[in-house]
Amino acid sequence: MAGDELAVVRGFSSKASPLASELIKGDTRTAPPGLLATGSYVSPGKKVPLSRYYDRAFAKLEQEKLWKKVWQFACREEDIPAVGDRIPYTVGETSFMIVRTGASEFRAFYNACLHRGTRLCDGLSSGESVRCPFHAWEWNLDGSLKNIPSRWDFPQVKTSEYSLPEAKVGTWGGFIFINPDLNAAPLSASLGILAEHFKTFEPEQRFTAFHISKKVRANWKVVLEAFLESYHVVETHSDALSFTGDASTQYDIWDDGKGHISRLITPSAVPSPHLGDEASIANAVNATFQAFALAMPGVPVPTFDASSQLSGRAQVAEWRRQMMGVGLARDFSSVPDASMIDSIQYFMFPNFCPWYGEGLPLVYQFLPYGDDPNESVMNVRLTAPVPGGGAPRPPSAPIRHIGFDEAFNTAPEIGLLSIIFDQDMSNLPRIQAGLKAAEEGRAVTTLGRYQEQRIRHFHDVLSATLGL
Amino acid sequence: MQSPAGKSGPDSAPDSGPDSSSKPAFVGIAKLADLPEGQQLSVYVGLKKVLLCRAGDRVFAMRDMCPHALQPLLGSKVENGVIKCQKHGATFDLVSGRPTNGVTNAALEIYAVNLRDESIAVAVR
Repeated sequence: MAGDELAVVRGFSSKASPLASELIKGDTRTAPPGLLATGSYVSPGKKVPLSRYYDRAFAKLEQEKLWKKVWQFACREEDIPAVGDRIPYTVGETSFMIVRTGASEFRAFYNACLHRGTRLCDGLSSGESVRCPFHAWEWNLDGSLKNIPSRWDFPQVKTSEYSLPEAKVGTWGGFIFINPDLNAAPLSASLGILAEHFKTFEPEQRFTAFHISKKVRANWKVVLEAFLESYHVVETHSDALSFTGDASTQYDIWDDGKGHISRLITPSAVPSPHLGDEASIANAVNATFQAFALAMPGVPVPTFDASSQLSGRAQVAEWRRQMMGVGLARDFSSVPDASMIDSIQYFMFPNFCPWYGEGLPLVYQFLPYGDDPNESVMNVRLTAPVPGGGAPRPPSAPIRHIGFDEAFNTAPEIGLLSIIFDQDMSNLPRIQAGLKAAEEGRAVTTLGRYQEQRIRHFHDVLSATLGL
Repeated sequence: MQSPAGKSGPDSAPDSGPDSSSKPAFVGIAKLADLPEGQQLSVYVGLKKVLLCRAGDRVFAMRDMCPHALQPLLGSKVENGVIKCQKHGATFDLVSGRPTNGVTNAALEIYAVNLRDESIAVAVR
């Protein structure tokens, strides 16, 4: 591949905006080993054919060899807090019903009645049994058949053979995963370095503060890949350049053949290196203060203190520790600066992005929608730490569904984040349309060696999974 | 979009933009002296950034966000009552907000302006 033998430049910095790795080393607290760890995976750098994003045969291949064969993030434990609660997890045309069957026990049933195929679970619901709305066929929570009306008319049905079929279920950090392949290895292998890296973050001690389900007119991989790099910030989110270390972002990949994990760390409270060596750190810090303050109406917004011994980043981090400590009755005094303010996003193949730290504690999930490769669903959550001091665990936020032609700004609970998401969303249908219009000889992607390496890695793993 | 001096408040504003049904209140957001002829200013009003453009004796106010790719408009060229987004070239009529070329079908948010006592008041929806 021409050019792929050239050296990889690991990011671009300026005097005002060092590389993420240098910023983290200079922070006020020693970062945990996971944050200091670096990945070693190097992609062979195969070009990605654009047909992958719209070809129906490719989507069918994904349905058979990807979604039916891998561990995938389905939902959070707090989505179904009581025994008997259930929620659908729908990936393309396949759908499962995730049920809490015990205090810490979950099952995933195929979301189809064994009578005539009716979908059994349309949305979050609850009950002591699972009952089909068509003829009232009914199952116990453990999936065993409970009742068939007019049982006399089904002499061919052996109760023991009519339990609801299941997928495998695994949990980590409050996240519930499923794998339809009953011969699959346990979830832990697929988590790779995630469990180790998230140990101090304790995702199990968090709850869903908002939850958006957005339909998008673009292939699920187009949407996923739009969120795997900070390279697009300079054009798509140009209004964030004054306080975002986009080009100084650090990218890492860990792949042991079973766990396929990647990460980006985008620093906050520093100007974009694109703005030059003399870009204002004070402006960067003040804009970051203001951005975080938007989530706390009425709280006085600090400004950059040039006389402070602390760096601008450290000033924002320290203010966040104090504000969050008071607000949540929890101690953040040992949390490193990067974990308080930066955007740290992990990705686990194929559809799961858990963000790390308090800077931007989101969770992304990307899913095909129906059988049309031109459409998909992106689910976005914000998680918050469960309050301390013996306060009860807050309930999980209900899912807000946003249609194809609706904007994120119809969800007031997400504040200014909606502008960022809507900027991203404005690109996606355009990408989906454009990639089909490419000249035949140029119908491949041209990916950056460093900033887009997570997309390269994703396609390496996807190809291997599909046997290509 | 300039309301006659002496009139104030949304009830008496005859030209409060394409959508006057919500009747937003006028809020002073800048001084006329801070906006010389041909210049632009971007001002936060709550969570919205408002772009003020002065062309001759007129002041136009709009959301500082092009509806095409949701990018800031500050610095974009204003000519003959039309603003052209400097990023991807979408053009909008500064009175109606309607797009005037094919880059996008979406309209630019335009706000009514009231000039009084050298102050620029804008009715942000």
